Amino acid sequence: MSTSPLLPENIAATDAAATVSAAESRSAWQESPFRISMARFLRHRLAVAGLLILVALAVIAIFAPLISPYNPNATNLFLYQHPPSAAHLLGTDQEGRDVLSRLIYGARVSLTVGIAAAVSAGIVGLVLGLLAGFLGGWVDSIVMRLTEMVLSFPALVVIILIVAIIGPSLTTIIIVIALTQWPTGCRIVRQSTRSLKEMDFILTARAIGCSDFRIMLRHTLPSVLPPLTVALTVLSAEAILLEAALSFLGLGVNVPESSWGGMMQAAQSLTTLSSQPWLWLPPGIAIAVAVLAINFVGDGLRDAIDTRQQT
Amino acid sequence: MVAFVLRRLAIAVPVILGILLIAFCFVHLLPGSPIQMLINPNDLSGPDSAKYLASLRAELGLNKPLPIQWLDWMGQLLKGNLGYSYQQQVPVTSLIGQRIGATVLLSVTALLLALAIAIPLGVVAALKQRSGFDYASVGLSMFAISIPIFFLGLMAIYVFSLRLGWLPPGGISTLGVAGSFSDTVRHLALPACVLSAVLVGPYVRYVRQSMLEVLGMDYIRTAIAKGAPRMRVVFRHALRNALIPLTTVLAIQIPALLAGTLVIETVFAWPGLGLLVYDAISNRDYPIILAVVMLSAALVVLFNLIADVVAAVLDPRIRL
Repeated sequence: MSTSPLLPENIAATDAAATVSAAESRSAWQESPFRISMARFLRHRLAVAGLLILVALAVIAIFAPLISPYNPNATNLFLYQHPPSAAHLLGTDQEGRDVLSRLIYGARVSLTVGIAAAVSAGIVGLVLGLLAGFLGGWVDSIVMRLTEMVLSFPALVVIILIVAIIGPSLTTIIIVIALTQWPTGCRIVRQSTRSLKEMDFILTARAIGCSDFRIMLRHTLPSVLPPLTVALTVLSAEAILLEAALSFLGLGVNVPESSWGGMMQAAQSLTTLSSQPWLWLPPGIAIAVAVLAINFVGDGLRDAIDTRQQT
Repeated sequence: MVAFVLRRLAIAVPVILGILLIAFCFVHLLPGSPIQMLINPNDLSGPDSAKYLASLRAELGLNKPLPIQWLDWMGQLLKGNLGYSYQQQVPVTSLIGQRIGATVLLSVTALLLALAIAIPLGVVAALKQRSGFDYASVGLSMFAISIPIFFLGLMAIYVFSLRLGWLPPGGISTLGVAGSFSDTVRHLALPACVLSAVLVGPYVRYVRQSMLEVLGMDYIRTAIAKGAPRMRVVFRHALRNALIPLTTVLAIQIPALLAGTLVIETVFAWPGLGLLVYDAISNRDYPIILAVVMLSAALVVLFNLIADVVAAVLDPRIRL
């Protein structure tokens, strides 16, 4: 059956959906909003799969020293670019380092950048967004113009400029990614703060004499966090891609340390690209899998939290 | 309409000034004095260079307070002076001029390709919501967003150039052969396809979402009720309105397109601005990187303006 929105059956389908959501809201009397969102998230199979992959990656990153078969930085010139074998499952690189071990340690860099950059961008966006949305007026204008300015710069080019000037390091990359990525979260926080401001419970809080600070912290913040979390999930995927691109361009974390993007730098030479695919294929797949998993989780969270946008 | 454009321009002014302020901060962050950014390093040889520098310092107003210096610097920008390349000792503007054509060719081709793929995909996905096609196109756009673009580029070179030998692995023309149209197209094919993948993902999602919203509107129901042919409803009534938000999306994605171009030019050795920046990174040639940063920001502001005006022309409600 073609369920085209153009056909009248679709109205029946909408009715059915309405009944379902009515049933959902009836059960809401017994269940907390958190549980409802949780149940919706778990119904999203890809999101659950994404979450499992992320947990696995986190375990790999945390226990990297125990899991990896070799020291990721130990060079051995007798093992120059050996293809995959029983001893080295993914082969060895130009300096005879074990590719699998470097891949395992690389998870640490990517996950650290993803989490740290998203959280720092989130904090900046949260504070500025709350202030702009709640106070309005000139504070709002200034913050909004600021987001427009930052959004006008292509993040990658600015990051390249800054990293080229102060030199690459993990901390620099995280800070600079956060500095260029906070506006997205800020705008979302501002938007929801503005709509919350007119709601009865906020007006009540104001009427019984709560201070602005208390209203922001105790009453607005909890409602703003869910949409911000969704935005931050997407942002951490973005951050991982940015770090990978930077490392690929040779502006990533310091050289002996392994990062997925950095491992692929070697493939800029056509000979390596052509005859040593084990050097660049595994880290490329690793980045894609990690980012895809995060994006699936983000999608699941969006559906779970946002009741309006059910497409 | 004129009032709308003027109002929109008025909002853009503080943003542009802010961007220039940030860029000016970058100039001061750069190693080396701003003098090296502004003058031709060839003028600096000779015994009297120290004296010359001091007089130049006064002449260029580098002993003035910073806000005045900022104004002076913006005056220089208006005259088209973006500084000199440290390495090649020529004005940055002339280097950019040599390279910008290739970048425009690559990014515009990728943009058109992305639209040609994404609009039909998004429309059909919306018409057949929750069908296998819908899930496939949404899933595909998810993949396109998640795969690092340089990895996609490397795989494209590996498969289509190195294994199958169908297309050249990089460059803009075959060495030693006079550039011909077909030769350029052959070189353009891989980078443009890979670059369009960055844009297809978000475009499909927006077209689908916007189409779904429009299809739920009352006037669509009216059109069906009065018996208008289905295709006519989809294309004349729905699609035209669904594409209006896409103008804004096009502008929002410009930074992503520019960043993607930069990486893709490196992978495919495409001689545009991206490769210029890549070479500048290894030579520590900061004025070039800074100039490209400013140029990109200017483009983004310009395209946002154009998108807003176009959206207002297409949808009179926005003008209110």
